[in-house]
Formats: sequence, C-alpha cells, structure tokens
Amino acid sequence: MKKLLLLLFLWVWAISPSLSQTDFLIEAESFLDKGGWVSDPQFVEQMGSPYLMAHGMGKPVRNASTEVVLKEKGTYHIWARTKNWVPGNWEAPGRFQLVVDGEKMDQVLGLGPDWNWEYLGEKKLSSKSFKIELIDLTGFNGRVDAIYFNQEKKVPPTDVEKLNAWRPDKLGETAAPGETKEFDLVITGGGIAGCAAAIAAAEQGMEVALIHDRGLLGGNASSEIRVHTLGIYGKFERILRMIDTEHYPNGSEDAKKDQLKRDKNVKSYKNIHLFLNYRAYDAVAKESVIQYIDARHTSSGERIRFTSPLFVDATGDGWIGYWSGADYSYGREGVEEYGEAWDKWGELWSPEEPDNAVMGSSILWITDLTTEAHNFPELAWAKDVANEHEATAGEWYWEFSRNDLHQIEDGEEIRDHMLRAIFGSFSNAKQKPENANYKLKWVSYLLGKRESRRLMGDHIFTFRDVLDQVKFPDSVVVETREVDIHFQQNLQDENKPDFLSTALFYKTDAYYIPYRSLYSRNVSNLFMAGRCFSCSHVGLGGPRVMRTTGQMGAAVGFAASLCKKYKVNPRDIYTDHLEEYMKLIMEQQWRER
Amino acid sequence: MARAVVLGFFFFCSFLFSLADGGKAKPLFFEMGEEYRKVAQEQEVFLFRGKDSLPEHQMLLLSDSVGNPLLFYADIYTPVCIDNICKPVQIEIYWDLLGEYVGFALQKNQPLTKFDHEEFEPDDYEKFHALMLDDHSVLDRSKMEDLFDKNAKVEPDKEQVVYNGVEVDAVSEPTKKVIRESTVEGALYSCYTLWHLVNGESSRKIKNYFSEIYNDRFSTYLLDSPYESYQRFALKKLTPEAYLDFRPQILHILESASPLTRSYVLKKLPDEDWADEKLSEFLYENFSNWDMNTQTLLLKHLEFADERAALWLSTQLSSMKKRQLEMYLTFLPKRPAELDERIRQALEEKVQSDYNYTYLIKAYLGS
Repeated sequence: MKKLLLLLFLWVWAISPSLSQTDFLIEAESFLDKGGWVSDPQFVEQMGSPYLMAHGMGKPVRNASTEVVLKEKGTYHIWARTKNWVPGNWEAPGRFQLVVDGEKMDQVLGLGPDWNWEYLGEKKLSSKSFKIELIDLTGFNGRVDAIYFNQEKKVPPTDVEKLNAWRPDKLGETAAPGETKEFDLVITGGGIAGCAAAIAAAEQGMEVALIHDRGLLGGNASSEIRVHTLGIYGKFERILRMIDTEHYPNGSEDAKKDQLKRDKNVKSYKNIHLFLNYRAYDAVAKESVIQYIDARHTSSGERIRFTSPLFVDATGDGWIGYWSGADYSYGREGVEEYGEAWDKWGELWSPEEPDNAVMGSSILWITDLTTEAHNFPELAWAKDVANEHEATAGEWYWEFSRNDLHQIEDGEEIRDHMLRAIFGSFSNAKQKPENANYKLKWVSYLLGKRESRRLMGDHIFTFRDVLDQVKFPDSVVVETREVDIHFQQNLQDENKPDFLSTALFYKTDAYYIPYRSLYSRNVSNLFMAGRCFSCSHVGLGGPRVMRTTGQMGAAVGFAASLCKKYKVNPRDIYTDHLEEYMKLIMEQQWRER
Repeated sequence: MARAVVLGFFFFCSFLFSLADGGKAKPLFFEMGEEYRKVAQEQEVFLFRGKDSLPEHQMLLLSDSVGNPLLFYADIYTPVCIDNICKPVQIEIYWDLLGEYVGFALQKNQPLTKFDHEEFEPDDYEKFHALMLDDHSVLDRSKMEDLFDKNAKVEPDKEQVVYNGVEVDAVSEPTKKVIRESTVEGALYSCYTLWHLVNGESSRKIKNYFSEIYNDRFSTYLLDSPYESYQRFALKKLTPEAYLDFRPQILHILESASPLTRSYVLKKLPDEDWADEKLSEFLYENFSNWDMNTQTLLLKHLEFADERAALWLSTQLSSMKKRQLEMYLTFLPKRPAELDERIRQALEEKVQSDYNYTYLIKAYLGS
C-alpha cells in the first residue's frame, strides 16, 4: 500500500503541470504502465533523458499508457520528442502513434532525423483527467523521450543544452535534490566490480550505497546483456562466486539463473543500501575532494544527493571521475609511450602514432530453431549495414567501433548500428527456405561496452607489467588470462562487414595489478574498479573481463574499510597502511562467509 | 625410455634421409606467383625448432641470380607424435622475406598422410595450406590437450555447435567447430605440429634475420612489390619525411592496400606534406571512394591539405556520416557569409536533396 502511495505521489509529481498554467511536460519513462516498451537510460548525457523504446524485435509491443491530471482544461498543442533512428529513403522503422483522451492522433511519429519535437496537432481537453497511450506500429525500436502540451503553440527547445535548462523548469525541479543521504562509502555502478566492492566493504562493517541505473545487478554479466564472466578469482573466490556466471555461451538464457543468484546475494547484506534504477548525473568536487554525487531515478525522476568521505567509480565509462575532474585517457597510446609493442601484430596491437581507436561495443542476440515457420520482414533500412551478411546467431565478435565515433558520446548510434546489423543479417538469412523455422528469441538493447574512459591512478597498468611479470608490493589482483585486443575485421579487409571484430591473444603467465591502479591520482577520495581502472589501452586487454574487474572491486572495498578505520584517503593506505591492507587481502582466500 | 628409443630411431632415419636429398620439388601451393622460379642460389642462414623442440631444421635464404633475396625455405623431416607413437612427415616449406608462410612442396612419393595412413585428398591439401596461412589460428593459443571444448558438441549431421540444446555460433574459447573447420580431419596432430613449425620460431627468426640484412636498396623493391606486408615493412623503415620521395608508390599503396595500411600512411605523413597538390587532389577528389576510417582521417587533416580540398569535398557530402559532416562544417568559416561561393552553392543544393543530415547544413547556413 505504501509503495502504491509512493508511486502515486511520484507519478503526480512527475506529470504535474509546470508553474505556468498553459503548458506541461510528461516524461515518457514515467508512464505508470509501460506496456511492452522498455526504459532506456543509456544515453541521458547525450540526448538529455531516459526514454521509452518499443524493442519488439519486429513485433509491435503492447501499448504504454499513463493518466494525466490537468490544472486547466482547454485546447492544447501537442509535441512528442522522438527521432527516426534510421533516416533514409525508406519508411522509418520506429513509427508510433499517440492516443490522447481516447482519440488516436493522426500524426505518425518517429519520422525526424535526430532527437526533436514532432508536432501532433491540436486537441481540446475537456476533462481534467485523461489517459495518454503510445501505440507502437512496427516493433522496431520506436522511441519517445517526452510529450509536451502547450496552449500557445510554442515549440520547445531543440538544442540539448537549452533543453536541459528548460526541462527542470517544466517539471518544477529545484536546483539540488530534495533529499540527501550519507554513507561510509558510495559506489556508482552495479556491475561485477561495483557489486564486489559493495560486498567487501559491507563485510567490513561499512554502510554502503550502491547506485545502479538498471533494475538488475551485474552490468555486462546481467541477464540484460549476458556476457559470461571470464578470468580467475584471485584472492576473492568466496565473494566473486556470489556474483559471477557460469561459462555458458554469451547470450545464453542461463544468465537468468546467475542473475537470481547475484541479486539475492547482494541483497542479503543489510548494510548494502541498493539504489536500483538510479542513474548518477553529477559528481561535485571541491579542491579535488568529491563532496557529493547526485542521482536521478530513471522512471520517476526522483533525485537523491549522496554524501560520503569515499566514492567508488564502477560506472565503466568513468563518469564519476569525469564529472569530478579526475585525469583520464581515451584511445590508444603510441607504442613508445609505455613500450607495449608486439611486433607480430604491429599497428593492430599498438600503433606507432596515438589515436582515438578503442575496442568496440557488442549487442548479443540469440535465436530459437522451432518446429514451425516464422516470417521476418525484409528490411530496407538495415541493408546498407548488413549488406549481404546472413546470420542466425550472434557472439562476442558482433562488435562495433569506428574512428569517427566515440564509445560514450556516440553510444546511441553504435547501439543502433548493431541493431541494424542484427536485424538485417537475420532478415537476410530468413529469406533462405532452410532458415524458415528460425525465430529471434532475444536481442539485447543495452550496449556491452569493452572500453571507454580510463581513469588515471598513481600507477598506470600496461602491457609492460604483463611482459615483465612485475610483482608489486601492492599486488591485489592477479590474472592468468591472455591479453586480448579486438579490432574490426574490415581494417584488414574492407569487404568484411563493419560490425564484426576479431581478437589478438597474447598468452602469458600470471600478471598482477597493483592497488595504486585503483584510485585516482588527482581526486583524493575516489577509487575506481572495473574497466575504468588506471591502465593503458593494451593494459586493459587482459583484465577487462569480469572476474578480474570483480577482484578490483573487492580490493577497493577492503581498502575503503581501512580508509574508514584510519580516516584517511585511498593513497594513504598504500603509503601508511600497506602491510595491514595486504594482510587483509591475503586473509580473504581462507575466509568463509 | 620408450620415447627416447622411438626418437633415437627417428633421428637415425632423419640422418639417412638427409643424405638422400633429391632437390626441391615444385610447390603444390604457393602464394607469390612464380617467385620461386627466379631462385638461382641458396644460403644456409640459421637453424630452428618447432614447438616440441625435437629436431632442428636448416633454414635457407633463396636469392635470384644477382643476389636479391627472394624467399626463405626449409626441407623439413619431423616426427609427429601422440602418446609416444611417432610417424615421420616430410615437407618443404616456403616463407616470404618477413617470415610469413607462403607455400609448400612435397617430394614425389612422399604424400602427407592422416594418422590412419590414409593419404591426403586434394581438398585436404587445400585446407592444410589455408591453415598454415592463418597465422592467427586458434592452434596458436591452444595446447594439444585442450583443443576440444567439453561443453560444446557438434551434432553429427550438422555444422552447428549446440549448447544445452541452443545453437551458438561459437564460444569464446577454441571450439570443436572451429578446430574441425580449420584442420584436416584425421590429421589434427600433423596440422598442429606443422602449424607451430611454420608459424613459430622459424617465422620469428626470419623476421629478425631480414631486419638485420635490410638496407635502403630494398625500399624500392618492397614498395614496388604487389605485397601489402612488404609495402608496410618498407614504409616502417622509411622516415615519414621521405614518403613523398616515393610519391607514385605511396599513391599506389593508398589506392590498393587495406584500410589498415592506408591509415598507417596517413597518420605518419608529416602535416606539411598534406598540402602536396597531387596527393591532396588524389585523396580529396576521391573522398567518396575511401573507407569510412580513411575518410575521417582526411577530414581531420583538412587544415593541412591543399586549400581546394574543402571545395572538392562539397560535392561529396552524400558519403559523409553525421559526425563526418559535423567535422566538415566545423572546418568551414564560422560565418557562412565568408564561404567560397561554389561551396555555398553546393551546400544550398544539398539542402534540397534527400540527404539524411540536411538539417545540419541548414543549421550551419542559418548561423
């Protein structure tokens, strides 16, 4: 009941008309009934907001709907912020319509070439309470960010910066979140690294906030992305077994079993305070000390400010470090910078000149081979990506990276390119009679990223540390997995599809990552764990897999507990408390829960 | 002990065989045209071993009549052993000057055989050659004992890998499917042993050896060659400042090589050379024919290129993706009033077209 009241409150708050009587804004992600539409918060920093998407794999999804309470009856002009995600000489793939107060509006939406307000027309609203519905027409990823009603026919801002300033005003938001919560440790990012950090710190008695922008924990290992965990357990087998996966094929439905295990285990710690579906949007530092992190609920829009003496950036994209001014790098270093050559592979491994190339992001997908035939349409809008490529299953090498695209700033385009590759290649295969019984079973809509920002620590872990087998006094992570670097197949042969990659594997004995790679060199109370730890491009090649990033998380969680004990910052653990810290780490392999 | 006896016998046979060497056979598969026909002299250069460190093999450098190096060659006689049972394999291998395998030959009456002594079929030789060519084979990162993924099984009548009843394309580690596809059925151990002989120490030693004897007189030969790996090797040895001394070769390489080599040249080309009229014209007038990554590099270097480059690009906007168009528009004068009239006209015409990003051009022209 309480939950219902809270939801009702949030809904009223979310859809409340602005202070102006003549207009109001409804965030699509705040719809009470999302039907078959999914909430996508991946690209908030670029396009301004989470949005609803009709990810039906070719079958129109169930309508989403919500109730609206008006302050003033009257005639309103209506806009929806949406985009045609594949503009071109074909019918837009993500078309949808709106039903307002029982009337289906004529205007089909999802037609403009970039995020923008599409005008639906005028509507007389004679009742103060009415319903809005979204009708998906295609099943192919139509998307809507917000719906705007205005009596004056004044077009809302298009420019994202102006829109970001306009939106809070329309939603009646204050500058700072109304609520502030304080913890011993605030971890942002509930992937394997963030979960491991939370468990380790919680076991040491800390009150931990774990902020995660999805409802399911695990990041790339979650049942929403489904990459299996690779690497070894190091000293943290007990912790990592609570959250890792079996070695099933990437994309396997078995991910759901491991999801249950992970969620149950993390939730069993009373002092891990989970903030699921909260996406951090700011981290503010004063004199290189993070003061707080602000996060927003991805559906209700509710905001919370998190304060703590210590923060962990386990976001993968290094957002907390980025916002708080931490040093970071992106792209490939020149081969001489850290001496990372592997002559056999030359430029593909480490280039003579630095550049902005990074390993790409993947979208996993699986099919069912059934006993009956299923139709799948020919897709003109996917043709110039898939070309003639045919496929009935995906794997890790369905990966995309290109030198005009940034894995963070252009994430939506990268994800959409992969969707076109998948739907197009499957469609090509389906035109063959022998594939008649194949049916798309699951296609992720969340990017499985490999590489983006890397925050810089006191030590930058590189391929040299692997080659030289360096044993550090503060080696807290150990790995034996090959160092593998991915690149797009079309670099060697331009006739290959641009969405397929291949990998180079450097076999090695054990290598070690020092604690000094797990805290920022210039933001004094910031740890990092996961793929945004301190490393070079090639350095990331080995330890970017999730048992290894889990080791990083656990190591950071234990370090944080000592920071609390001595009221010091992460660096002080290395300079003043290393013996005690390493003893704590070594003890973990013998400890039982 | 049994192993020592078996191997002792093998080395004895190997010695007898070496005495009976009957000259080079004609290659069965060869990747470099007729290069082996130019061979006029040979020189012993070093010894090498395979993965199992069994016998050492002699590497020869083959040269033409005036001493230009052409190929590396070894006449290999090696045991292939499983559980201490060994059988001999004899094969002649050719490598290029950079240590890449290029082909093999067999002496008459010495066919390759499978482990049940059945001779290779013509298709098997083709598959074997393709495997040796693949220096990135899964065999590189596999131990003999873990060539098979226990979790994956291949249904007998299908080419699919099935896991828990669900078809998968491959799993991250070497799979039975990949191994089966890339090796000759019934000859996995021969394939494994020979792959490591061909792509292991032999290849590394050739690279080192050729680097040591390399001098400037090889540059033209390698740049003029039709082989991309040779071209890249020579480019790496040249200082970028010398690139335009070889303008015809550089233009040819840009046109014919892979995006990887193209981007290598463009990244290393000194900024001042971008203004070279012929080069600029060649690169920017053909903008729409290049791969996307090359196009982006061209846009990044617009400021250094011949001043007409922006004009040449103005008629090729259709091949630009969104970010690329943004780069182009950012390069143009901030105030559209200062635009070259011809560029303005091209932009205005484009606005009327069905190009996906006309809204960006409109925004620029309206700024």
